[in-house]
Amino acid sequence: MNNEMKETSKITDKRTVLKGDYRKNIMLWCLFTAAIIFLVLDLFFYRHSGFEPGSLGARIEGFAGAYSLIGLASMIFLIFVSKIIKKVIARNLDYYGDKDV
Amino acid sequence: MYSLTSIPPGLFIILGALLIPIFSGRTRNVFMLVLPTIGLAGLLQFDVGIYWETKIFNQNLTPVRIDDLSLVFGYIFHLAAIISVIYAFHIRDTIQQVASLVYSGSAIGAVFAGDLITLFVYWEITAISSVFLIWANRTERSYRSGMRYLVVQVASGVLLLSGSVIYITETGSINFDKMSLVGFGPIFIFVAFGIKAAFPLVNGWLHDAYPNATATGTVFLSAFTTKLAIYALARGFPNADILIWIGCIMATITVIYALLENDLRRVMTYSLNTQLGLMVIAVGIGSNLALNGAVAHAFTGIVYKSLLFMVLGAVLVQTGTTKANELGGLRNSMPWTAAFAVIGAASISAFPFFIGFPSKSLILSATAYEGYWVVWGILLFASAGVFFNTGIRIPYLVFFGKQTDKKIVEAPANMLVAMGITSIICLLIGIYPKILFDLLPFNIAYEPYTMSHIITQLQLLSAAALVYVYANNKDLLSNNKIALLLDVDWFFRRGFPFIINYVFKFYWKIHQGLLSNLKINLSKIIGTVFKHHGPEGVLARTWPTGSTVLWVAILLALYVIVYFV
Repeated sequence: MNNEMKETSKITDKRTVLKGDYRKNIMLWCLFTAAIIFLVLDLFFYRHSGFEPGSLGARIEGFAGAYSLIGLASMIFLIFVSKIIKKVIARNLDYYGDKDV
Repeated sequence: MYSLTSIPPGLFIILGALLIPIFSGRTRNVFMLVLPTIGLAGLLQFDVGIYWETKIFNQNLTPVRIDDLSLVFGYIFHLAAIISVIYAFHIRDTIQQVASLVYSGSAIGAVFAGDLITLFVYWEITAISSVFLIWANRTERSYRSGMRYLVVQVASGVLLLSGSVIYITETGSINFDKMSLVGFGPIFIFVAFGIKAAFPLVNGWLHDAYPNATATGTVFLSAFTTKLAIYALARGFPNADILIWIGCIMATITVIYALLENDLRRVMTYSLNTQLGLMVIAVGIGSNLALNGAVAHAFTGIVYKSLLFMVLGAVLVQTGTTKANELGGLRNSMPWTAAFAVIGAASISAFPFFIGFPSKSLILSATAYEGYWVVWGILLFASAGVFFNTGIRIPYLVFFGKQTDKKIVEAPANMLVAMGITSIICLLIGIYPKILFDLLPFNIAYEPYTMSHIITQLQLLSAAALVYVYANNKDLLSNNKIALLLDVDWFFRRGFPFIINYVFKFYWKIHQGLLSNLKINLSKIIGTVFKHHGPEGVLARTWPTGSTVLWVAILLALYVIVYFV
């Protein structure tokens, strides 16, 4: 009986995990598709640039998918920089003593 | 005849707040709601102009100056007070109720101050009244945090007063208008504004105090102090180049801190600091479009930040925590709050058709028009970062993450009503930004909803979301070790006490050394005197007459020699 229950529990756990992974993957693919759609749309619509024509800013902004690239690059940068900075600024929760946190 | 314009805006709420203790129960709630509502109705009746001008010490005090810039802040401050009062209806704490309305009233009074002295008076009242919203938590931690907050806020006031006195002496003008950053006066005033606007290195109070305030207190706090400082900067120092770079630092550093923080109310304060950075950049650029952007973003920021702080306040009240690692899966038990959180998150992330979009577009466009491409890049980084930290992370961790074991029920009705009203404003202005644009101080033709703006913003957000989901799947974002993050408040809590302690110890050593030397020398002198004058001393002895005569003769001889020489 006990073994049976353990088996069932294992199966349920596996299903939950699979379900979780499946959900995450679906979400990832949906976002990826959305990013591609916005990238493609960028090619079809007139991009109004605020920068003076011919300036460096206008050239960067005028690049198709510039915003996607900036978003992607800056968030990857954010994750890596935060990992490094955490090593410098992270302290134990009781760093300021018992009475104060 | 008495009319709603018989009393200065703000002062009406402050004086009314002092009457709160005489009411009780629902009557008190109604009275508290009526105060800012009547205040707003009164403000709508005022025309642009100067009111109650009086002459003191040969200077013209202008307690109320109403113009397009102050009006926008006046409207949103009243609105924020009304919504926050509804949100706090369930509170039965007289001190908190009085303090919250005195604080709101003084912030309103400050934006209509036409001279530096009136501004200083209201500035200090905001500092003193707001600290009670932190102390109202009645914990050792909130008490200490409140003390640190008060010290910084009062320091800001002292700087404002000193700067004003120098400025008035140098220029002869008491008026609070545009100043150039030359001389000690304007610099002191600038730093005073900077402290309240949470500039880098003086922003520790924001991340220290706001998360330690009460659930309702934080909603009030998020609306007034920092936005008052943005107003003051826009009024006093538009087009100050230094503000652009200060804003850039504010917007970037805080994004990194927000990602590392576990306490979601503190995440919100970092995110608030990022948004303040965007406003400061816009004030620094100083063109009409940029100033409109700063004002619009302050307006929208008050709305969506209040909403998100209200959501976290409701979560705090219902679960007792806002720690990310202790929360999750609340969407089933708090469905309305979850929905409001999503609206707030979409607004702060500047999703098209939500309130943050038009104001952020204004700032981005102004930056591009002035050719600041580096600043423009930083703005995009900050925008994506805010979406990453607040737009996705907060709703996901609180409402969609792993389920908590605690039994939780939906937030009280008054909280839901307040969040509902704020959500409607988020959508209304998001869909129809003309309501906001008509209030802005400069008349400019600007259309935020072009295909270009919408597509580029969606590109940015979808890319950021993609990275978040991927990093989350790969467990790159997990906070394995919940830690305290060192911030500039370290200087107040460790640095300065250490320095003072060190200096004091050093001084104490010198003091002890001097004292012991003094004691030794004194005892030597006393010993010598005692030796000669004591009972056994030479001078105490009874001398024989012969010796005395001899001594007199010697002394006389010495006198004669000295006299002739």
